[in-house]
Amino acid sequence: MKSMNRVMVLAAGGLLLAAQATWAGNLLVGVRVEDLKLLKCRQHGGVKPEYDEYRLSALRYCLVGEWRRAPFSIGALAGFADLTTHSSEGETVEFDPELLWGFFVSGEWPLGGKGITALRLGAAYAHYEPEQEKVTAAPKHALSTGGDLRIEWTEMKVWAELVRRWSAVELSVGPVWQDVTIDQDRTYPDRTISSSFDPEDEVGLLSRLRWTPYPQITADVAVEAVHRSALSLGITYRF
Amino acid sequence: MKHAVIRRACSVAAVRMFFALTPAVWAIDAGILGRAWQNHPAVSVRYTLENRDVYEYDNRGSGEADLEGRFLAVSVPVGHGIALEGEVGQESWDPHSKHGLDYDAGTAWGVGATALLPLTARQPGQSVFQRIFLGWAVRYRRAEPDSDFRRDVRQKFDPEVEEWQVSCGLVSRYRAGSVGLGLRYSQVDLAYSHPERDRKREGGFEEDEPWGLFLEGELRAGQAFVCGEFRFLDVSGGTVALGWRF
Repeated sequence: MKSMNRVMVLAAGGLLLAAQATWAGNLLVGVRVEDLKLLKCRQHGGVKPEYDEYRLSALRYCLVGEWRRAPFSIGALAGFADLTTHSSEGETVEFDPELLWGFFVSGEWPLGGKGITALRLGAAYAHYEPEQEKVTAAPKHALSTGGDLRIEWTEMKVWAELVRRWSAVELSVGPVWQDVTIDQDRTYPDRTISSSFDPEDEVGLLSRLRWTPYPQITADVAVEAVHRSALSLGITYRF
Repeated sequence: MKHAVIRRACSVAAVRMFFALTPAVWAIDAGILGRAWQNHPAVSVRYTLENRDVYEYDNRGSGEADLEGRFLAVSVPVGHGIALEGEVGQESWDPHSKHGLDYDAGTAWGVGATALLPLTARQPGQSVFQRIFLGWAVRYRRAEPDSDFRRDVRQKFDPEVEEWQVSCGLVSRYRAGSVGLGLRYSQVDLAYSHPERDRKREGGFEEDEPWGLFLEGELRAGQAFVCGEFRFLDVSGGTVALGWRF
């Protein structure tokens, strides 16, 4: 077992060295934690009309890899995300964390000749399918909806940021458009009822603070205020 | 006669002091720890009082709520123009509801990150905007009541208040103080759960209007400072803070 661990550590070290030698200065690897607070939705085609108003929240932990070649960068993320749904009748359902994956692209162009102000355009895609659920709170008036739930969550985002830099600090702000498609299958022993959730808003504001204390390390905090809000914390290492 | 003169002089001084501090006392939320001390560690005590429209989202019932907080806050610089903040204290919640659901004292804590950066990259004296800075902040606060929180004898609630905000504004700095105006997006949630026979119920309140403006000010005297913020549109209220930088 010990020799196996040694082999894995050596292999990982070898990969990092190879990445450093091959993509020096262009490859970024990091982690990102994202807290999506209460996405407000209206359900269409649900099992009971009283359950139309929904509020969804999720916590995501992802590994992020990004390749930069000015003015563009392209990246991918993979990790785990949970989901909590709360209906207007008071029923709360918590889903276990499931695998989430996605990718993103962005481009950045300087405004003016000094390189301290720039326009950044970006787009991102993410997908996951939570299904192992647990009803943690019962409804007020109607009976519990029951059944086994399976959700397919697909989101696309497009944003524009006005970026300003001060040596190690970068601030940006801009509009974001987010399209989230949420389809749900509720399976009973004798039938399956399909429904979809329609988010209340699609356009909001994005604001980001990025701090680079060392040339290799970058920490950022970003807030997206669309339906309600999403807070994202990330740290990346640049090879 | 002598005492009357002293009393009069003190009254005049108090009135002058009041008007001198007024711009700074209209204020916070914040967690503002003295933007002028962005590059120094600082500690402060803060008092926050805000009234905002809220609604109970399952019942679609709207109303108002008061949030009142007293905090001890610490700010630590982590880079030029950037600081991390932490605060602990007590916060009370009064939703103005006939059903009660208010509590007098809850242990609260919060964290945040702030930035104060020059608007232009030019050298001092080259720009008319040399006194103007761009302020940015993100903050999170959480509170839970210290004692049982009941609507009546049978119903015991377990509430949690969560508030977070992101703000961006312009700050004009002067030798002895600063003033600022900004835009803030803030969310407040009071989520509760309570047992009912063999099951559990959940629900909550949230803010009606998340977007608001704020006006902030700060006065400095040596290493001490007093600062505050007045908020409008999303909430009516503000914060005052007294602090010391190191």
